[in-house]
Amino acid sequence: MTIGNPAFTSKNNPFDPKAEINVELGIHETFLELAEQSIHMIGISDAQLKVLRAEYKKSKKNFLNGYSYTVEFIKRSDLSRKRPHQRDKVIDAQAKMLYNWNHNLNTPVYVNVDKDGNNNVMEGQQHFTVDSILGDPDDMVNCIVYRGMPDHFELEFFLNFNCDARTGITDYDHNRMMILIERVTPTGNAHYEELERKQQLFEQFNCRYLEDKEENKDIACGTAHSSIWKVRPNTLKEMLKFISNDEHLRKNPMIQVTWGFWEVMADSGYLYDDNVRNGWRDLVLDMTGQQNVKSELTQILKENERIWSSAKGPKLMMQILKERGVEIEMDRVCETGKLQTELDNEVSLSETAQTYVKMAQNND
Amino acid sequence: MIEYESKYLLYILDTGENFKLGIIEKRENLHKRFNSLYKQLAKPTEEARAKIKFARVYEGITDVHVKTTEKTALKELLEHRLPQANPKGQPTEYFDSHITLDMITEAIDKQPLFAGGKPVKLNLLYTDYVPNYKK
Repeated sequence: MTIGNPAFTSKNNPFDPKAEINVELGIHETFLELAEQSIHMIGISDAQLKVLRAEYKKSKKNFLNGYSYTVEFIKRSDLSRKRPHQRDKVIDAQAKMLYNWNHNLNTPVYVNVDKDGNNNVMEGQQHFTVDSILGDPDDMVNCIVYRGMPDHFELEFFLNFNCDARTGITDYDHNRMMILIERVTPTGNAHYEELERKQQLFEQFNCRYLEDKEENKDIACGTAHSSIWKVRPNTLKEMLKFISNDEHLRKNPMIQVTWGFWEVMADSGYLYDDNVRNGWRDLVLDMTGQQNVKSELTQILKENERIWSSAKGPKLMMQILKERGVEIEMDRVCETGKLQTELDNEVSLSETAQTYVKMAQNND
Repeated sequence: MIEYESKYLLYILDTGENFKLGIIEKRENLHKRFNSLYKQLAKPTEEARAKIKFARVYEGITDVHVKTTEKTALKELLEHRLPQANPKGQPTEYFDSHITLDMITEAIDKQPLFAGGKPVKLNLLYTDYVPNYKK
C-alpha cells in the first residue's frame, strides 16, 4: 500500500520546505521571518519605535520567563472589558479570519500602545482581540494584530516589526502558517487544534489545500474549497487515505461533492464499508473523475426539472450506487421517506442516471 | 455488451494542411458541422477542397467521456494550437502543421475512461469520412 501521492516529488510537494515550489513562495520561512522582511512603518517615528523596541527588549531580558509583559502588570480596574456577547462574536471572527487571512492582512487594526510603550495591548490579548476604545487615540500605533495567536505572539510580532500589512504570500500560505504556528504552541482552542489535526492529515496523505484561484482548480489531490475544513477528522482521514491510495482518483482535484459524499457515508454508517467506497470510486471514474461529478449530477437533476443542491447531490449518488448493485439501505441515507421516493424517481426518470446504471450492469 | 450512446461526438478534421479537434453536441448534426467547417475554411481550389474530411469520428458511452477526452487532449497539445487572429490570440482548436494525426489519436487514446469501473475506449465511428454536404 502506498501512502500519499507519488506524483508529488520533492520538487512540488507543498509540505517539503526544501521543495522548489516552496522556496519561491517563501513558505519555508517562519511567519516571523517573513514579517521581518516586510517591515512597514506608519504613524510612528523612527525615534519612537527605537524607544519602544529598546524597552521591549529590556523588559524581555529582565523577565525570567522571557515574556516582556504579563497580565499581572495591568490593573484590571483600569481597563474596560469585553462583555460575554462581544466575546462570542470574537470567536466567530477568528474562525472567519482563518479562512480569509488576506482580508485581515489588508485591514489595519488599531492597537493600544501609548508613547511609553505601555502594555495596554495585553487587554486585547487576554480576550484574543484588540480595539481602539481604550486610551487616547493619539497615543496609538497602527498595526495588524493577529488575534487568537499563541500567548505573547502578537506582542512580539507587533513590537518587533510594527507591521501593518504584508503582501506577496498567498492565502494558502497564510492558512498553512497560521495552522503550523498554532501547532507549535497549542492554544487550548478546540477549533484551532482540530484544524491542526486536519492539516496534519493533508500532509500525511500528500493532499493540498490551495488558494481559490482558477489555476488551482485542476491540481491533483488538491482543493481550493474551504468547506473541506469542516469535514470531521475521521471522515477526512478515511477520504484522503482512500483517494491518495487510488491510482486514478489521485490524479483528480477534489471538489465539494467528494467530501459531501464521504460525509453522507459517515452519517449513514457506511464510512468503513468497502463495497460503498469502491462503488463510489467506480461511479466517479465512470464520470471521468471527481471534477466532473457535480456537472453530471446537475445534469441528472436538470433532467428532473430540478437544480443543483449540495445536500442532495451526494444522496443522489447513493441512489445511483444502489441501483448499480451496491448494497445500500436508503432509509439510512435519507431522513424522510419523501426524499427516498424523490431520489428513486429522479434516478429512474433520468436518461443520464440510467446510462450510469446500465454501465455497471453491462460489466456484470 | 457496451452501448455507445453518447449524443456528443468527437471529431478530428483534416483540412489538408493541418488538423482540428472538436466535439458536436448532437450526433445527427455531424454533416451540418462539416458543412460549416468546410465553408469557414474557404479553400481556393477544387484540389484543396477535396482534401477536407473528418479523419476520425469517435463516439462515447456517455457525453462526459467525449467532453473530457476533448478537454484533456486539447490541453495536452496546447503548445501546438494555433492562436486566434485577434490581439488576445487565445488558442483555437486548430493545430499547427507539426501535429500529425497519430499524435492526436495518441492523446485521445491516453485518456483513461471507465464503464462500471472497468477501462474502456471511445468507439471509432468513422475513418476518413466525408459527409454529404450542400454547397
